Amino acid sequence: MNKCEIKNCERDTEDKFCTHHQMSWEAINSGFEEWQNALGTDLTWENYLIQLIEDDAVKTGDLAIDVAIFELEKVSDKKFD
Amino acid sequence: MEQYLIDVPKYVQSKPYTFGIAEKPSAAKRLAQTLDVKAKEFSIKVTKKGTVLHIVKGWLITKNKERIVILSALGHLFTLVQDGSGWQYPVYDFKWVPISQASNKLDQKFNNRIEATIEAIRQLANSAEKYLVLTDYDEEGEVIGALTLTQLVNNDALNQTRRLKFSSFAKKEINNAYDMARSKSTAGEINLGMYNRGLMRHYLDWLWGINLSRALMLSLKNYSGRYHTLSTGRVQGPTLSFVAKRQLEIDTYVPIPRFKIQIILKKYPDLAVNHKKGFIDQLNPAEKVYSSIKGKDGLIEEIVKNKRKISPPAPYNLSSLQSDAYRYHKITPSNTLRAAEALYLDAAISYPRTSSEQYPPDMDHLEILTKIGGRAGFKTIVKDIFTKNKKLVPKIGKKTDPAHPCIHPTDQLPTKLSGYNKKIYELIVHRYFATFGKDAVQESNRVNFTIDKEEFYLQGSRLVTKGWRAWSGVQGNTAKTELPKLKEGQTLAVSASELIKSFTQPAPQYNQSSLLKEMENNELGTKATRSEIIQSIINRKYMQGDPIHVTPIGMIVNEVLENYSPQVISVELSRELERMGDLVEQGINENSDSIFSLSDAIVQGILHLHRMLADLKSNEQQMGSLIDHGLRTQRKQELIIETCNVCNEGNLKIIRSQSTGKRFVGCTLYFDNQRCTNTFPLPQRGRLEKTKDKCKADGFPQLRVHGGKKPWLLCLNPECPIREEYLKNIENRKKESKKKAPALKKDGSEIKIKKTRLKGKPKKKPSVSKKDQLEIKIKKTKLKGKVRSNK
Repeated sequence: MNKCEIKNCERDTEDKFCTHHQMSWEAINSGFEEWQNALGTDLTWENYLIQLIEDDAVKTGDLAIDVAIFELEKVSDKKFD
Repeated sequence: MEQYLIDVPKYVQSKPYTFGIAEKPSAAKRLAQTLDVKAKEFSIKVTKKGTVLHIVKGWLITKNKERIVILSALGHLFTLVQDGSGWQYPVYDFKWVPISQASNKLDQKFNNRIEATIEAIRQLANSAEKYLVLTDYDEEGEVIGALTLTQLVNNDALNQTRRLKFSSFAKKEINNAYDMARSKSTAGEINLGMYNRGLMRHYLDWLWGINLSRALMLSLKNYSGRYHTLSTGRVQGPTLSFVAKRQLEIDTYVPIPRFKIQIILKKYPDLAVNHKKGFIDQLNPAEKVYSSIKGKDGLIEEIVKNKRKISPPAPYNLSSLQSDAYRYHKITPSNTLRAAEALYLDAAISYPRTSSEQYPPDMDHLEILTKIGGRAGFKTIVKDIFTKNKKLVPKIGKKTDPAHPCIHPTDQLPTKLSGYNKKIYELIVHRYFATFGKDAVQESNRVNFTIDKEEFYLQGSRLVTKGWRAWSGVQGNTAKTELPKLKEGQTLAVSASELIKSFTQPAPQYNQSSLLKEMENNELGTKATRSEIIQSIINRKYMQGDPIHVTPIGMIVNEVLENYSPQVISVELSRELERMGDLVEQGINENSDSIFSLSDAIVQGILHLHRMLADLKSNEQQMGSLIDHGLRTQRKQELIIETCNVCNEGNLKIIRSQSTGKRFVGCTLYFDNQRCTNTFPLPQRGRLEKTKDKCKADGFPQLRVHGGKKPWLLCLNPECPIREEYLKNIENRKKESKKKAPALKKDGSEIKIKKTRLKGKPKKKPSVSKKDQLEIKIKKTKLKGKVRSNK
């Protein structure tokens, strides 16, 4: 049994994320397609995540924000590497 | 056997007499005084082992030469408990005991009252010839009345029992109910079907509650060694699951962008202008629309008017009253029920726990309207109703109730009205008035106009004929959306236009009213119990706030049940049990012509429960782990107040000092090499609760302190002017109370109060002001410096 990879979640899971964070991850993933459809394919994954986290007008759910932060950190780590 | 001495006045005990049992003391008084204007109140002193337990009040009345002794229960006098010992599950053996023996949570005074009431009833009921049940006519009333007699007399007592069936305390109705009970009609008999259904509900709810709650608590105890009160139940489980599902939808929600063209008209800047398509999903087409209309004026192409008749509403039943009370006054469903019950006991309205939308066929509307018309505020409307109605034929709805009519005012005005009771009474009376009204006529207008071929519209409406709305108080108010006079072909000058990006929204959170509606739509619980169930989930800290959100432990309990025993939260199972209740009430078996008895229902219920408990037992380890995690998260959330105002990085958290044991607020970064040492003092007594509101004086976070008579708001800033003022006021009040003029005897001399100190009680320490105390505490805390995280 693993722990959910989201910081401070600590829930047991057999996958990468616990059930609720997995649901959020799926919503974020499918949401990206819809955002690109609405705003154009210029929108990058990183910009999309930043808007989900930081834009006050975007009322992203708390669990979805956890996953967006996790994904954004991954993007930053890759850049740093 | 315990020895009781029951001192009943001799004139009460002289035989023969009928024993009447009412639901509450206030109901006993009203019934006695309504049935006999010369009703006499008497007292029964109940003593146990030489100590007076309580003085029970009763009423002696004479009606048609029948002497009736009326005592009242205190709601339920008996409750179910486990028959046997051990704190395990499954438990299927149970028995009825007086509630004073079941729980040590009740205070001793109330326990004594229950015990005394039971013994007084036992004494008087056993010497009676006949019995009369005078409780509210519903499932609970039937259980209270019949169970009290079977427990304290014997099962045969029900054969000598008649029943008063009434829907209001109005004099005429009570007297009619008495005549019916004394006739040989079956309408004057106890409703055994309803009684059995009530018993079934009690048995199954007890079995569900005790077993499932123990399964949750034991899984935590066996996993972590910790104890925490957890509960779920037959209706509680599915109700919590509605809110938890919605909460999860909101928490995992990812909003999607969409676009709107906003136009401001020069002459009518407050009118909302809508594009024909509403929102536009993509930026490119939205930009095209925007660039084509920018700087241009509109042209009215068409004005469409529609008239619509709006029929008067049906009279209130409990759920529509609760819904409106929340909608117009933000009164929670449980408070609405409480207020309606107070009005019912005051004889001002009919019985509120009803699903009917129909008036009783013999209701004297003329008399009721005339009486209500005597009250200031209603006079003009009643006059208007009489003028406009040659015959008083009110509108009724479709829903019915086998026991009671809709909620309506009676011909008796309430004695005292204030607060919630006043608002609820006004809603009921105005709804009653509205049912005599004619249709209201509303005209809706849509003005279609174009700006460079792009289609837009304005929407408005106005009341052409007020009809019933004129008599319906707050319910008749409509939002002002009337459009100005416009003509086809007219130009609409545009002062500004803008392309706005907005985002889709998740489904709204439940509030108490919408959750109640959801329960009703899913046939969960009964009209009488729904609001209490919502309140009990809130009291259990599974949900909080308004709109309602589920706490971490609430989410976990729901998840545990969803994963390991989904039947517990299944709406279908709850409905099936309700259907079983219908069969018990009717005494019919669906599959054969035989009788479906109460024991059949219990056996079927236990079979379902047994399967669920087996599922839970085999997953105890995982359940314990999840619950433990949920409790930890909840505890953390309760302690964290907000982001630190000094470092803007850590969180301000309620911490207890390891060295002094005192609590204070500190930054979490203190534990990271003391990167931030921001602290705030806290009062050491009282429960602390987080609030969303910031202090009005300085914007610092506030905590609500529960302790003393009233909870009070504490600003974290020790130098806050409001806080200083508050502490100063306390000091002043203390000083003033010391200065108060001495009490005087009748002859004008001063009453001397001898100040004595109880033996063994320590002398008070010299008083230090609260402000000084707080400063001392903060200094001590800073000096000692050793703090630990309160996990």
